[in-house]
Amino acid sequence: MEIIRAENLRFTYEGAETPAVDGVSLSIKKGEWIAVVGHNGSGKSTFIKLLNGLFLPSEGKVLVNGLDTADEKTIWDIRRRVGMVFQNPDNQLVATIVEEDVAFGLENLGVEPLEIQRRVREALRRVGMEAFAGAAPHNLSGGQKQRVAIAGILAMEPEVLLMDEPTAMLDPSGRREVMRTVRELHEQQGITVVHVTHFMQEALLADRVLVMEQGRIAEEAAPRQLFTDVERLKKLGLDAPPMALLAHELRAQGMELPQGIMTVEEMVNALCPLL
Amino acid sequence: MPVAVKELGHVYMAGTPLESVALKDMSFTIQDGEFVGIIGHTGSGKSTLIQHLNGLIKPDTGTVIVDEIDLSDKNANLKEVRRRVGLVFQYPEYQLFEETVAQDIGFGPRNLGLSKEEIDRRVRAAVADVGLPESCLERSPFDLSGGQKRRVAIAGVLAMEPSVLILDEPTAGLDPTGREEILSLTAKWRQGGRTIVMVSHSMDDVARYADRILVLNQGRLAMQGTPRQVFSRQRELVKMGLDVPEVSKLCAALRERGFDLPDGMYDLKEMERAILQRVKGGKETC
Repeated sequence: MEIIRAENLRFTYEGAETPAVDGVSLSIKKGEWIAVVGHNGSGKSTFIKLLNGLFLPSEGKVLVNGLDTADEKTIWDIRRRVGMVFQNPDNQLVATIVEEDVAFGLENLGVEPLEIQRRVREALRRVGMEAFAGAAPHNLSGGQKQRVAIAGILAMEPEVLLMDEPTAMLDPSGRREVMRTVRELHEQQGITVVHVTHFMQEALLADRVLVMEQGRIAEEAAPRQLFTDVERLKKLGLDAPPMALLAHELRAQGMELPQGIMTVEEMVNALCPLL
Repeated sequence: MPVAVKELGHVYMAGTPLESVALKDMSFTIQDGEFVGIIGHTGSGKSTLIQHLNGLIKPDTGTVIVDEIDLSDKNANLKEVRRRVGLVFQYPEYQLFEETVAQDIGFGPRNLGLSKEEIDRRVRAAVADVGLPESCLERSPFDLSGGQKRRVAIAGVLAMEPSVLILDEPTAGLDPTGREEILSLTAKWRQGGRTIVMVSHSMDDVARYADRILVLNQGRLAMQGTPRQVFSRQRELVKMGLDVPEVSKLCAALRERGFDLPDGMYDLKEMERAILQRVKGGKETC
């Protein structure tokens, strides 16, 4: 079932000569995980901000469950269903206590206090932060802050989670924490994920990867399919996962290796019979 | 200009309930012209340590000696130390403030009271050292891309002509192309025997460029050595919450299966050669 539909989207920033998003059409199915990659300035952040009506398209339209993001009457309903996590963990938390921050959106919707309590507790549990309900956000690590930001969205019971490079400013353990959380939400609750990232290892988790270039979708493929074509990746200015790169180089030297090697484990399994 | 750190310790908010030990009993030296990588997860003491190296923080215990100036000495000439040791903070582009790129880069040299010609010379040299065209000198730094802004901020430190350059996470938040640009420039910044100290989360970045790596964990120096020595201790690194280059993981996994590979490999090309050699040799089995 389709949950988001983008039709021929264009978006030009005020004063800019060329559009940042230039003719993108896409259908996202419920429960899908989509990774959006591309170098800086390729239009990927602008694109996902169009998906929950944070930006309105200059041309074309975005439908969420059939509702148009340009319709003022339904935009709040759309924003509740489609939540967004941003890059900088320090710019998203507004309250002085974690649980108040998670409750912020619900209070604005006028949800009953008892129901707010229940949902806040549940959301913090789902991101593994229930022990920090009474903590001050500024005492948390970057990864913990991002998980609190995700809890604030979960409390709204959304159907889609949009993420704009949520791990770019985190250290390796923070990055793992956040990705594990999102993976669990996706696998266990079937939440739809649209994830902008520079890290190809993260894009491996997706069902589908979109590569953006000059505001357009230059490539659309399953991650394994995309990352096998190392030459194409280089042209698109992307890093191949190291094991995919090694497999590519070894094949170029005449070794016969199976296609689609992405991880260390797969490489070990492929090499063992040969060495 | 060697840097010598001896039994350095630092405690934040000492004597209060919020007291926390940031550095404990840390000793190492850095030689002239060396490229030293410092790694450790968030809270391991990296930032506290580098702020000691140019006198922004004074040692609570132990000593830091930079070019024979003892920074724990009350009368140490800190101004001179800060000129010689340039520190580029994380996300340095947030510190740009002038109207033009040239003015921003020239801010430090102007404060040194240098002549107009000398300031101009340094600004031009610095902008070239970060790989930007002179045509950007009259532009507003705020009109540049993220990666370019960062390079302007680094140029501002290079214009002070420091003999030690410390970079705190210089590639954080950049895309692969931007990251590569900054990393490949570090070779240029080493010219003339300049010492480079780079703090990073990225093992791959550090492995490729550093002569030596210091690994910090919970305020202590947990390891120091060449990249190969450090990456051969994979299990310990993972226990500290650190990432290991994928090639090192592969090396360890293959060694575990009985392959005769050198310990601690981290370079993709080297791994490729080693594998090809063994395929052709055809001696080993799984």
